[in-house]
Amino acid sequence: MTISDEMLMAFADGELDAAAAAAVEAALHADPRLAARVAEHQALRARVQAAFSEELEEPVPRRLIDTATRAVAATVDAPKILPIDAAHMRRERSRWRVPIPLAMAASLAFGLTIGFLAWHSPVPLLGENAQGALVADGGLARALSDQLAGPGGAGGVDIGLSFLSKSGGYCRTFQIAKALAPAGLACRSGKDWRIDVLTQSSTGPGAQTGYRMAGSSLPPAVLTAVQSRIVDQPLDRAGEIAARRRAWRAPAR
Amino acid sequence: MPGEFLYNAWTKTPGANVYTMMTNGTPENVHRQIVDLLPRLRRFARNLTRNPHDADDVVQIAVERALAHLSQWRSDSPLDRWMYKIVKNAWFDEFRSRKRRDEVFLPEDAGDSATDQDPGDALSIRAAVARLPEEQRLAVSLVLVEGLSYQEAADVLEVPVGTLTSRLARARQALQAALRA
Repeated sequence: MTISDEMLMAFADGELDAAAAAAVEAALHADPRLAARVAEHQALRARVQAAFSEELEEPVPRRLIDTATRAVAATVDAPKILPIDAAHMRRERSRWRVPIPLAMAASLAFGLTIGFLAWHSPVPLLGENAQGALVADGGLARALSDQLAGPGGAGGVDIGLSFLSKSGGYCRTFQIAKALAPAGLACRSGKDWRIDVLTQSSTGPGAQTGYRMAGSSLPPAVLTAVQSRIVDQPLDRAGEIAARRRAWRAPAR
Repeated sequence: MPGEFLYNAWTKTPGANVYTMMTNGTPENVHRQIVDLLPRLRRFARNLTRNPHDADDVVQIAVERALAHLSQWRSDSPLDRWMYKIVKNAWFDEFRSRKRRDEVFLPEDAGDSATDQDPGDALSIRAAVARLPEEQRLAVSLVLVEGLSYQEAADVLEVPVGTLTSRLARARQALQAALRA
């Protein structure tokens, strides 16, 4: 049986069925030139593969991630986000068509959030600062200040993306690996981590988390919030370390 | 009690993933899977278009098309092959006609490669691949770079597997000749 170069190539790629592979193997034993040719095919394959490996490390442009998530983000509705800021509150209020005083609505939202996390967490993860804003507390505050992006440590908090927001400060997404796995976005405000968005995780507890660049495991509501705030790209590891060294103080503009 | 309201609001659809709830039966997590595929789709598109800007435009169009035609994707077949095919078709349909052909993309900073391969080797391989005729380049891109089987690559390119095999064989001969030179 004559062995064509195409067959040697298919053999090198593992594409031959058992009978053809056996025939090629027998021929290789008989003719070292054929064996050398197979080795050439395999070496070329490895070199080509390696030559194109660096693309996978590049950050994906945000517009592509936007496109891939847009259909979801467009349908994110208010009830799935816990509205924290006043603008969200006003929209909520008009939706309900009930004139709830803003302060009352705000405190209700705080109550919901704090009650929820207090209920599901052995230690409080949220609190109010002196101005009455919802801020990270306990293990969540520690994780936001100390952890680099990636699956979390013993505290059960995963940090997703860290980035510089349009308002000039640092923000980080987080996910709490417990119960309904709430996830959210916290932004540095003075010495506090102000909670800007809090929502249910899309993945649930135990699912893949901490995908650094693409933020793909983030719930759409959080992703949308990130997209509306982010300047440039998320911080890489070195950027996170530098920001942490400055205690997440906003860089001079 | 406020806590109960929140809990109930979130569990109206027990066990349902947020994506499923919001996309009317779209296969769960498909958006996330597409996001995860983006690096590979971009790489394929660059080998297809030989221009990084066109590549990103083509990927964007492909993702839009895929999301608009999700019902045509059979969720028992791998999403990546379906997406590669859409990327290829997007390029053939929308871009190739109005294309500046001559720009061949070469990486500016191959030296940053995480592999311990000699950067010069990577550069010369990429240049050699970029100079292949399109049909050979696509065979190399799908089989050697993206790691598809011959049959999978043939399906993406919509050609018989024998055609794919002979294109790949010719491509390898050309690459070996170019790299030996």
